Amino acid sequence: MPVEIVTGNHAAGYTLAVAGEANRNARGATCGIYPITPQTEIVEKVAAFPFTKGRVVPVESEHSAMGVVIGASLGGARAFTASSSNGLAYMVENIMVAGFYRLPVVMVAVNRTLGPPWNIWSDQGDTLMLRDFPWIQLYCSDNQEVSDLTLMAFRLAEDHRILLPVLVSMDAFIVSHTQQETNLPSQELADQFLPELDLPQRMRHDDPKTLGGMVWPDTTTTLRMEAHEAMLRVPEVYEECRQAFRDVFDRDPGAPIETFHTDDAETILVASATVATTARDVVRRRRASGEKVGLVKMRMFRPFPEEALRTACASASRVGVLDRDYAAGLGGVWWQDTRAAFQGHREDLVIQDYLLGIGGGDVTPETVDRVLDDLGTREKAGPPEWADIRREEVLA
Amino acid sequence: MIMPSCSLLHLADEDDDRVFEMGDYEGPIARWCSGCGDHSVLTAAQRLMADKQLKPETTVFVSGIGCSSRFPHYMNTYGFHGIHGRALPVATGVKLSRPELDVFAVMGDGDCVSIGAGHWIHATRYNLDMVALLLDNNIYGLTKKQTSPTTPRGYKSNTQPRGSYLLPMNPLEATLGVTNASFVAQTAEWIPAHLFATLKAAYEHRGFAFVRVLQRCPHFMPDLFTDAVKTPDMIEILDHPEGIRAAGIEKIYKNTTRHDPADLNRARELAEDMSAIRLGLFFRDESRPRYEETRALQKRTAREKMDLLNEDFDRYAV
Ligand SMILES: Cc1ncc(C[n+]2csc(CCOP(=O)(O)OP(=O)(O)O)c2C)c(N)n1
Ligand code: SF4
Ligand SMILES: [Mg+2]
Repeated sequence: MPVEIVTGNHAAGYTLAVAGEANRNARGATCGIYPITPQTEIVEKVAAFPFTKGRVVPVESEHSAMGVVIGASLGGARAFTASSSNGLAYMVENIMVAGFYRLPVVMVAVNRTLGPPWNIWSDQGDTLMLRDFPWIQLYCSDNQEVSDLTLMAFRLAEDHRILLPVLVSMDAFIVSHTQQETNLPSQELADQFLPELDLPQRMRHDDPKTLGGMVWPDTTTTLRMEAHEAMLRVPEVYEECRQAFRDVFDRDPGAPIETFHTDDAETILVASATVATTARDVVRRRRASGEKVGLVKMRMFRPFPEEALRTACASASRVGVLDRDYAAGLGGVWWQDTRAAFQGHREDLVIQDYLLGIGGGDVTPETVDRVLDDLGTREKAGPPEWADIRREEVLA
Repeated sequence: MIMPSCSLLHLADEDDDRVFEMGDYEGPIARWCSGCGDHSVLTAAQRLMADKQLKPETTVFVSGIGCSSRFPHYMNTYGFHGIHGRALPVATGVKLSRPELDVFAVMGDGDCVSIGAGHWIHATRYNLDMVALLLDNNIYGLTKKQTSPTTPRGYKSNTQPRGSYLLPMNPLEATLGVTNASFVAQTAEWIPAHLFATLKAAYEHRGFAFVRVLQRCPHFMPDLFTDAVKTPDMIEILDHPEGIRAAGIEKIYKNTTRHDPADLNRARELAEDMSAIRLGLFFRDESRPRYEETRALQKRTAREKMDLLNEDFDRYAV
């Protein structure tokens, strides 16, 4: 398929649709749709797609959208939806259900600040609040990644060793509404890459049963443990899917983490989504002037790629985590998990949190420079830094 | 800073021989599209407040999310711009904790009839003393043209590009079907006199006053009410001494039907029959139990309280 110039939303909507269509010889596609800015164009794109088999179901809320997705997936359809911010917040109850039913459904999320007060700009607080549910979470920096990871998501989710839902996220407006050259998958290649969905727990005539009934604690514990074990298998299965993607599309959808000048770096930034893109430019510039700085771009958040992160930061003495999110009473979510990854492994490492771009504030190269200036002088980590707030100005 | 807001304290400080004019209730300039029907509802609400001399600081506008839900921003009163579909539970909490306040809930058709439909049904049943305005433009406006439950069948939107599949919901019929409904009216924002008279009647009603305002959205539903605006005969005014009478409109709106708002069965028939656009009071019954009374704490003497306490202690006798 020729390269097209499309928005992140277009890339997501189109890719969801061809993934759904790729299941036409099995039980088709189902998409529950409900609008919310800045995601709306994704579901509108899906609504306009001429599916051979399946249904786009415009419902009355996000809760219902995920409900339809759950029901359709149990019926054997390839099921997916998209949402954002307060829509995700309202959907939470069913997001949890999809996870614990181990349904390989896919959701694209556009990261938007949770209200109130109302704010439509980018902030990862909405998807990171889902961190404790059995969902794989992937974060994108550009439109190509949105399309590639959306397609990868289905194959990963539907693998029988995994059977977990996948969330693919992108930044509000910076990606969702920005046009870029994007290599979108043709239906033919999508068909080749995605096997027809074979859901072991789908409803069948020869085995009627009730799902989700009341159980004893040991059953719940076992199910949680099984979900955890599936999570632990993700890195290996992801690599297989990645190789299959390369074989079909002749390009790399990317590893769970991507490293940039980390080999001999003394100071490393950990970032995700478009903040990682800005950070990469700053790191490139400072490298050129001889500073031993590096960057880890996190593509996967769940399961948290602990081991890969530890390996990437082997040479570092300082790590700065860039969080476009805030967990009340603690600080950045990525920071908490980064600290946990090194706990018991690298007690010497300074791991400092920088909260920036919250509520959609622009994360500029100057901000990243300030972070690096601060990090470079630190002997030990302190409380999270609100990198966009200049206390002197607030107090003045 | 707790939450961005505009303070009304300077008003409360003044002594109370204040006389309010419409302008006293105006907030910032409304940023709806030009020609949007919401402007006219805003003006009518400000006119109602001036007419009743309501104090800005004891009047509360609660909304959800949508173009229509921007309403509280543009009123110089207390306001809560809530979450999508949830204006009514917040309004319920406000009214129950501060019964002396005048509470208005403003919702769009998506807000009220779609994502928040559950609250609408139960708020009607609670029958708390407040005004609920449904600004019905038959579309999701704020998110730019998606089918709502009141969108006409066949209308092409961004979520149903081949035309909406379902029969539209009729909010009047639905409200009239809810247990304990006590006030159900319909008006149109392009007839200011009728709109004002309807808001006034709703405000004066003791109980949950549900008003559906037919609202133009020139941006995403440009043709919806064009004929109705140009052809007054398409409108049928419900007329009755006990109903809503808007002075001066009879010369233009000559198509009237006599309807006694005490007659629930007839109200349901009129609401269900879509052959005309009917404006007026469909139903009113002030004798229906109001939540604040049903749940009111009983006033007891000290003696009665002691007896109750002793009765309770007796349950633990060994
Ligand atoms: C939980 C949630 N889901 C979705 C949205 C996105 N959203 C904002 S307004 C709206 C619909 C507005 O339509 P309506 O209530 O008819 O109001 P109008 O804009 O037409 O006045 C939607 C779906 C949201 N804000 N919150
Ligand atoms: S989009 Fe429609 S409802 Fe919203 S402000 Fe414009 S005209 Fe009014
Ligand atoms: Mg509307």
